[in-house]
Amino acid sequence: MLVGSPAITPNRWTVVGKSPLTGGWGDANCGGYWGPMLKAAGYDGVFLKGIADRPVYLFIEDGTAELRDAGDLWGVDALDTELQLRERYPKSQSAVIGTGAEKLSLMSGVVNDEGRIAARSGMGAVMGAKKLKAIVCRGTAALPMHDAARANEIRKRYIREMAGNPKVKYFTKYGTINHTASSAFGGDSPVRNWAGSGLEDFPSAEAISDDNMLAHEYKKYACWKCNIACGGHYRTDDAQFPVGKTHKPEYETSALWGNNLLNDNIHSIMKANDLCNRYGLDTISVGSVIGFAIDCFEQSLITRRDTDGIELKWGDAASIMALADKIGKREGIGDVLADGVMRASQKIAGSEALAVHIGGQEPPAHDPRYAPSWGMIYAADATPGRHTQMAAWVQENGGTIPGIDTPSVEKYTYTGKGGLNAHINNLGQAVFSAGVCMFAFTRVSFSEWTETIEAVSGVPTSVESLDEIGQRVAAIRQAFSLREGISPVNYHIPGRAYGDPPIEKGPLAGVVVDLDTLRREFYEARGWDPGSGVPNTETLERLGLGDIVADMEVVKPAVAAP
Amino acid sequence: MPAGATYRVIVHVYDRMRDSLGTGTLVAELPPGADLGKLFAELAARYDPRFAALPNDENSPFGVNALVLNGRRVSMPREAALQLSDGDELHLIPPIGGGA
Repeated sequence: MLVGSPAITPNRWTVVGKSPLTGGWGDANCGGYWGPMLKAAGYDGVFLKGIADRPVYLFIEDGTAELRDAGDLWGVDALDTELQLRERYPKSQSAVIGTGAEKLSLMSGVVNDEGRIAARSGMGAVMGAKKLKAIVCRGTAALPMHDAARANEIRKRYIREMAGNPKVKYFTKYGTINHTASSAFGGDSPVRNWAGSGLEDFPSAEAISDDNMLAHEYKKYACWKCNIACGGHYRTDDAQFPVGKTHKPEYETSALWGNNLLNDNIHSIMKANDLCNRYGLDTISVGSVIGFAIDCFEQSLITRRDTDGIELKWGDAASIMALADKIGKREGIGDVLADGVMRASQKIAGSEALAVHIGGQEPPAHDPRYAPSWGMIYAADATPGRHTQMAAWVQENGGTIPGIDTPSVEKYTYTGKGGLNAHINNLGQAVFSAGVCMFAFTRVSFSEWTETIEAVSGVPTSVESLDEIGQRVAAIRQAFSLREGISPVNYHIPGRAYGDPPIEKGPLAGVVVDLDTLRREFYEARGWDPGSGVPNTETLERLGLGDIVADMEVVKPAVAAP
Repeated sequence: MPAGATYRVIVHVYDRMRDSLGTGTLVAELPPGADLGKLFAELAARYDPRFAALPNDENSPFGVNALVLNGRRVSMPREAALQLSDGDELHLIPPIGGGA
């Protein structure tokens, strides 16, 4: 609803489908310029059914849509595809897939704006399977709004509010790269495939963090109409890993290709970012699966015969990048790893304990043992392993949702958080569904959203009404996964990330996450069955979702609590 | 250690606290037997009074979410009486509540 409007950060777009990675609800969210252009072309969304008999792209312009031949673009990387399409259609914006998605890697996403990627859930592979190379949009339609003048006035007011906030200014400068090192040292970031400790195993983390990364920024970058502008364009003329232009390697990328692989070669991290963007692959998942492969190599579960002669070593940027390229091409060992940790582990005997995935998806670079509500939402939501699903991890990490009063929480207290987890998650579901950014959600007064939604739609909006919308979104997502046979309570949970057994060193020593209590209380607060996560009939009917009650009755007997 | 010598404790700071202080590494000189509480009192006296109470709040440039002493997590004020040793290193890990 807010994409294309004067809201703060009105540019986020979401790809939704059945995830080939997890089998359940899949989605991936992204900023950039494509979402607003889809609106300007006259559409709120695009539903795609079936499979093309040859590579195609969808061209949308001023309220019309047409499939066109993409034979000449198939095999072209994501960034070059976008540039070619922009040359062909000036002033257009394209969401495209790279060659990784063409090869159906389950770690592939959908790319816009030369390297901003809706990366998670394997949504690129869905487009690849449909032989849909791109969706090109062009148009000039203005977004119809109930009260545009009021919406514009609200925007100006909140931009003024944010401009005076030192926290926002700092985020504008660094974005997410300001804590790659401190997250390694404090325990937030995975280190050595989730089995290490930053200060002991990766004391050189500062080499890839903060100003050392920022030094490679040659131009600021902002998504459409974003006043925060946390992005940047980066380059390096390093002889081994030169990169002419790439988006800022975000914290997730830096942590999973740096901290998690003990790799302090900053140039290789920029190169990894560029490489993944070109193949159209998720840097979280690819960094994770490389960590898994190095671990397997170190433990002699695979040898050079399995890796096409590559000697895999922690911290060895050359072998890391060689492996990444093979994954992008699905060559040799790259083919074994191209569908993520879970499927790779199924092919490598004895590797189960090294396989850090949740329900088939690699978790991001935030350790459940550092903020247990992150661990809870990774394991309770319909899309597993997602750090952008809101929960009380915000408060556990010292954060706030401005304008929303919440109680202070103790990180390692496991009871009494269900209501807060549900409330924060509901608000996130609603506001993110409207098409704005998490980094604004945590940096501007919540009244920005209620006021702007009301101005744009004409519908009276409150915190309570958004909470209810969020409940509805969450219930539909959960019901979809359950209907497809995926039950979050039966997700694979990696012991390494949850303290089973507890790690003996570092700041997370001895931490055991009580996932069961956190998840049960969360489901209960949602009005779902605490043991199985199936939404209760009364809850569905209260939310106006009576039409999915019958589906839930069918799945109930099949979903056993763990 | 000779009588009268002091303990040197290294304190690593990050993020906006580092910006505020203009350095990422602080050195505290403490009498032998000093504890964690004494360290923060010394930091408050020598560097910035805000060290006297570090909130777990990302809105404060002196927000701290975790304290890591010689690689192990410690908590304040619960462990204020924890005895320090010469050469100890403390990392003050900032909040990341805004997501990343």
